[in-house]
Amino acid sequence: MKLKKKIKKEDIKVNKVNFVEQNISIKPIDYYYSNSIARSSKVMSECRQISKKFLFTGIEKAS
Amino acid sequence: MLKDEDRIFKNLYNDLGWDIDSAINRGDWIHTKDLISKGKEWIIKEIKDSELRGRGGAGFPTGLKLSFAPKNVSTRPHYLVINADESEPGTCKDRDILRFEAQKLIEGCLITSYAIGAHTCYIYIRGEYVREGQRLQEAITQAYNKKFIGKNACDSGWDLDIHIHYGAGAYICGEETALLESLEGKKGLPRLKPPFPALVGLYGCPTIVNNVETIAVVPTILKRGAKWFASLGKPKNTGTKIFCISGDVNSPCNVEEEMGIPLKDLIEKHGGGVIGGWNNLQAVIPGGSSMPLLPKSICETITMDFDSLIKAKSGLGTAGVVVINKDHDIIKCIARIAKFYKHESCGQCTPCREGCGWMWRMLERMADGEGTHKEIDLLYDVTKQIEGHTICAFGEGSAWPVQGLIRHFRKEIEKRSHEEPLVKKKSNIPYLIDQHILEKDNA
Amino acid sequence: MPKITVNNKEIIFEEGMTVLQACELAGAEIPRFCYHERLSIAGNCRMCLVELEKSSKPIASCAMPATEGMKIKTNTPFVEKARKGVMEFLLANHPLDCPVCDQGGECDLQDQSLFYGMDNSRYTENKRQVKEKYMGPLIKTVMTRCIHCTRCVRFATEVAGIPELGAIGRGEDMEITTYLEKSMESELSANVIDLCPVGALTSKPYAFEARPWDLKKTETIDVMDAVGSNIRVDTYGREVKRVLPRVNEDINEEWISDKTRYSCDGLSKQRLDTPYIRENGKLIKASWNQASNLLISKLKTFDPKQIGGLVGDLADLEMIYSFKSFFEKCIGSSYIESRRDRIYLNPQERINYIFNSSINGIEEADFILLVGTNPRLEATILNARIRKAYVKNGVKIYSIGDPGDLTYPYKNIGSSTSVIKNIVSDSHEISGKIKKSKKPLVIIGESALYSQAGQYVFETLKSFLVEKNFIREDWNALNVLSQQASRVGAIDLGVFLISGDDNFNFFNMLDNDDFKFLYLLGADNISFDKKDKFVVYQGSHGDKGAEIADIILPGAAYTEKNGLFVNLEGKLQNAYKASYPPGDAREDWLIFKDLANLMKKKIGYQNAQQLRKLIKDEIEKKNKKRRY
Repeated sequence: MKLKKKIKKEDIKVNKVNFVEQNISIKPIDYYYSNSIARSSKVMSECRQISKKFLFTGIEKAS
Repeated sequence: MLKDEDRIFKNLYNDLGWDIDSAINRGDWIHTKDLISKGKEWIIKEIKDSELRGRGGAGFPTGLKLSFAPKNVSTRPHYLVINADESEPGTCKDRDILRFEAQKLIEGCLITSYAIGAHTCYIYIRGEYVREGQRLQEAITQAYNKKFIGKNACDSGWDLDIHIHYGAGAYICGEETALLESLEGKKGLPRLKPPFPALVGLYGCPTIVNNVETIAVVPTILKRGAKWFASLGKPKNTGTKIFCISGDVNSPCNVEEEMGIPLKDLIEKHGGGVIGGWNNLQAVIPGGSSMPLLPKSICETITMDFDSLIKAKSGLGTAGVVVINKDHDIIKCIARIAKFYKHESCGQCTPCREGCGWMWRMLERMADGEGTHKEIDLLYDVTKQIEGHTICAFGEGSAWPVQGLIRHFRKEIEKRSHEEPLVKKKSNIPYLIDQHILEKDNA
Repeated sequence: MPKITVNNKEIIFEEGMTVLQACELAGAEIPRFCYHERLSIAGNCRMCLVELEKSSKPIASCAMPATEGMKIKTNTPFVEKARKGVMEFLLANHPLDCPVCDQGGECDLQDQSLFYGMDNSRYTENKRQVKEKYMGPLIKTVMTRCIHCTRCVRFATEVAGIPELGAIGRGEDMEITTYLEKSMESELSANVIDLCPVGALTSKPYAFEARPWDLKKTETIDVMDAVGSNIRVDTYGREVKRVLPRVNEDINEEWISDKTRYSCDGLSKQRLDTPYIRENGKLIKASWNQASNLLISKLKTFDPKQIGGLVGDLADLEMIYSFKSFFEKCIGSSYIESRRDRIYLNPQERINYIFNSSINGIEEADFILLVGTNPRLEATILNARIRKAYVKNGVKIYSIGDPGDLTYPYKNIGSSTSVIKNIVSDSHEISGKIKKSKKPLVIIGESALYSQAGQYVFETLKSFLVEKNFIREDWNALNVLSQQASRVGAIDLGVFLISGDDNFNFFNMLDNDDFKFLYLLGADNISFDKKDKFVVYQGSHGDKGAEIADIILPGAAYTEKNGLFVNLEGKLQNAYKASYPPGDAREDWLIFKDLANLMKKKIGYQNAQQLRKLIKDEIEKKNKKRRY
């Protein structure tokens, strides 16, 4: 689908929102178990076991 | 015979002392400032006029090589790299330069660096040359102390720093691009050319890589003039060269001689003759292990320079003359060389990686008398399949000695190998035709 | 334009091409092993040798830059002899165990030895034996077969960004290994299997499963993440044997993630193949009639306001659209949602929820800001593109929030919404850098959109980018990184529940226990208190959703139906049916059609063509209304 893009600055809807203080912490993702197909997979569970042995990311270090 | 006053390396045997003061007495570091003040173009032109050819093995005209460096230094710095990774079996000329004539090399580094616009010079020295490296470092420190190099070297206004880098003992790191890789801290694998190091070399910057001897003769050429240097030797093969005579001679030695000296003179006069007399000579490897050997018949007349050796299907290489007399098994000798190349192949490209081991195994069998006549052709075919198909010149270096053996000592191998089978096959089977069809015809 | 002569045929080539590429332009096929267009040039297999006029040696065409006036010959005896020589060397230490090699039938060495191999071996020495290396549960190694092309090493260091694959030893003894024999710490690791031209690196789960010529190949789309990688599904009978990448320059180039490749064995495990009904707390098998009738009778007992529906992560547009029609036309409820969590969504414009810069656009970017996202795990292929941009252009990357190792260096500039406040008010160090850049890229992840602050993060960054004129015709810096294959499509079809200021209306209702009947369409990744809710689960796998369900209706997985998917860039892609749903399982839109028929209501379509037309109209309409 190729639709013509004609963007004028004024056309873009902009909403002003009040500041909310919140910590942006990246939610840990169980990469090899992220959906039902992957959770059923034997290979994925093997990978998950192994990946637990090494630390993938900073988040996993924290948790 | 080279006259004593024409000798460039006067302290080749450390008779006169290696330290900087003795070196200055011999004429090093004199007029260096004047030479530099004559300008880059003059230096390169003078080297071109002297027809100096690289002493590292390939014999590439040095003046031409220096002129490949970009004229103006852009944002990328230029580098001069000295190849002191002397690992060619049968060669030990750089070792004595590093030990006893280091000031010549350092002076050459300064002049050449100036000519190509480099402020940094690396000397890549063979890892096994520990003592030589220490001596060289001492010599460099002495030169620094005398302010011959460093900031405003020799008062010429040119800055130069010289660093020593030790190799880790790989033969392939003597190949210029592998040397650069190793210098950068990577595995010493030759690079693809083009781009050539003169444009994209060390850390991606223009780099000139030269052999120790080449650079060490530069100051003397400039001081005594290109004409003097060109007057020595033969046309296009000018000047003097350090020959390393080893093997079955009475007194193995390093000797500086004119290019184009007859090989027989070299062995008889400087090497003290072949052990067991000239008639006991079997073959000579004229230029380090990677060059094809020459049988006695050729040795009688051959002169030692680049072009006449190429005509004899060999090469001057590094001028490491290895004499083999009849007490030795020539096949075993070449098999040993093949083993060396099998061990030192970097493994990057296919023909050399797979071919070197194959050649060695075949030669070992032939030396033990377990080869067949057919295999001699196969061996020659294998060397031809390696030669010219590899990234660097290692392929040639490993194939040529074997080719030399087959060319000149085929009878020797045949004599030792199995007899030809009763049913003789057509000998000149075209390579591209399916082999089994021919076999059926001949069965 | 420069010209080159290949086999006496003069052709025009582009500046910067290699001789090999120029020869391909001229239609001369060049054999190669080490050369791969997406990796750096190694030039070490020496198979691509060609003859260059005035050169005594043959040249390696893959490494030689083409220059004006070169005269190349590729079909002379000289070239053939050179290539045959190289092939003989390659085969010298190759075990030639094709009958027991998984690469057989799709092996480069096998194919090319047909053209350049000799029919008998002259190599009579002992062959080299190399010890197997451990490279993790995905890669099976038979290193004796290795021809040292170093494609895998170059892939690992250049594309995947892990240095732990390399060559040790020298000459004949050179071996490819992971040094410490541990598994590769990369989500792209299995791509080395495709890259390996021989059978040295093969797929461990697929070992001895099938031969390539026995497999039926279907080109389709992946649903493991929202990137929508193009894949090829190979099936043997009903069973999906393996998944391979398909080239799509705009999306996945030639790579797919390990999850995409290896979750396919999950397609035959834990499958729902018949409807179930919960009786006395136990799920028992039932027929479609029983299940449908129970479902319809239950639906009648609830007020439509008490009925909610949730769309899962792997749903295609057919599924979502028929689900929506079923809810609106048959039940009369509009309480359906596709977000699985309280993630802020502004559906006013389409640019608000897609990856506007496009995946290709990443390579053009000169500044990248990651906001609350870990692209390495959320969209592995997209992360590889960011790495490519880093390697190619040295683009500077900043992150708000700590995503850990992303395979490329980035700077963490804090992890709080106040950082965004500072950036927007020009008081942060990177504000100036954004302003100076020509094509910045801001990638907002789900973690940043979570909960109350999500609205602030998104709207503030958007208005900042609009203000600085970074949302314009040729460049749109605003990017939202969705994680689910169904997400963008579902929002396109209007499956979200937002009333006024309440962005999370559905979740509030769920928490307030307003729903008494919950219809989960493949929605597994959701946590809620079941209490006395009546739960219907329709999906392919017996997972979290099925455990709590009162009625289970078995549906089809993504390889078992034709479906449309919209990827995170908003690209509509077609997925094709590679096999059939197991047992009594059915394609999901058919289930809704039959339910509607049973309820004697009109759902608006009778066959797949009608449904697809409705969907395409709907998406086009939405697009027009939102302009872009």
